[in-house]
Amino acid sequence: MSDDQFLYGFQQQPSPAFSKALLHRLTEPQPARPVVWRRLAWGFLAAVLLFSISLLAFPTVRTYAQTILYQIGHLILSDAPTHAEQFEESLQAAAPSPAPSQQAVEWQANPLLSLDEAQAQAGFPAAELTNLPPGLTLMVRRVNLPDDQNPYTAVITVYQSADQTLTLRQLMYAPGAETQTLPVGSAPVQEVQLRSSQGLWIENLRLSTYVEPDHQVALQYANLLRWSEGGFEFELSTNPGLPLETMLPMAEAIQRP
Amino acid sequence: MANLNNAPQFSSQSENRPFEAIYEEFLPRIYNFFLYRFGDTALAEDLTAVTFEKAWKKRGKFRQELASLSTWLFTIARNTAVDAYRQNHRAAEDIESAGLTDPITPAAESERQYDLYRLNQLLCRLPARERELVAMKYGANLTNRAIAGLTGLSESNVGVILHRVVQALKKEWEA
Repeated sequence: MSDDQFLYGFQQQPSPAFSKALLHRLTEPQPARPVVWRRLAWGFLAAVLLFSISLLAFPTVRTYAQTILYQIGHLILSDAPTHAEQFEESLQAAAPSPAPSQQAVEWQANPLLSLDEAQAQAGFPAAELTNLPPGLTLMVRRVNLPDDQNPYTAVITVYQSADQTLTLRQLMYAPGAETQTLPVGSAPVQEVQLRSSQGLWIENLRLSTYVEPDHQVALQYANLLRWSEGGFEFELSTNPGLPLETMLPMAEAIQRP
Repeated sequence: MANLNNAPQFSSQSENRPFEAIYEEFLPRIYNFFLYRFGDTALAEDLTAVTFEKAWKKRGKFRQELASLSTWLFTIARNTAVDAYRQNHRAAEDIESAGLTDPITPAAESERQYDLYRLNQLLCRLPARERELVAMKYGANLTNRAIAGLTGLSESNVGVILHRVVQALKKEWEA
């Protein structure tokens, strides 16, 4: 028996009731809808119209109107406004979101762990970038353990130059972890092939805000590659964003022990 | 089944088989494509119905000189799967991962159902593209050449990907 024969053995016949009902539905003339159904249909259309208007009128409602664009691993991309866009929108609407509760947080410098230390903390072999653009220096390597917000262990490596930040995140999700949603707003998303797997390329993602010298809040843009490989999910991001032609070879050259 | 003699023709221009004959041939294949793709019988029935409804509405546009009936129907099925995946992603995802969180015990279900549950668990771990190829090959009984025509991959590429996936599945299945 060839290797793949066992896979044919799970085919099922659709139930006779389903087969018969579908064929009947397709080929038999449909009876005219009674008046009550027409009235209900008009009512439904009116409700949809009202809802659409409410989406245009209220930003808080609009944020819930999102379409799932893609999923890669545990990450779902939606076209809802990014958190940075929502924040900026609330500022423009002069309706800032409630101030977060003030809690004293001890400031901690970002650690620069050695590869061995990071691997020991994470409990898995950590990946390294081997094809860095000139000028970038390793600044941070830290491990985030799973918590209420993030059901994964992450090795986060940050490289910086005078005008560029590049971040590699290697994520290992806990078994049975729920998916997470990343709103990307209007940032274009493109499927790409890398390292023998399918990845996603997100360009000009409005990822965060910063305050300019004139105290105006501005959006910060990043480009991001995300893919799954060998049980991990990887994310390579640059800010300001490097083009795909630069980032793809970097992702391809990542070294996994 | 309805009376074959009264069944309408699929298209007088290109495909002169009675619709019911086409239905009988393709219903199980399309149903199993969705079953292997999403691992849920109720969703497979829903998406099969949507596929045939679309095909029935567009039957006048089918032209055999451009594509075989099989290619045409499975193109509609693939698009239906993509729509379901995108528009109702959470529901589809819940169904796909149901086996991981709500396992069926062998004692409670028949051995075959448990095997199906195990297979779905393994298929859930595959990337979407690989799972779709498995669904087309082993659910819908499509040849590598037909899959290549539908996906835009080369026939040899389809063969290589499927070989790799099957080896991995077999290894895990027998583990």
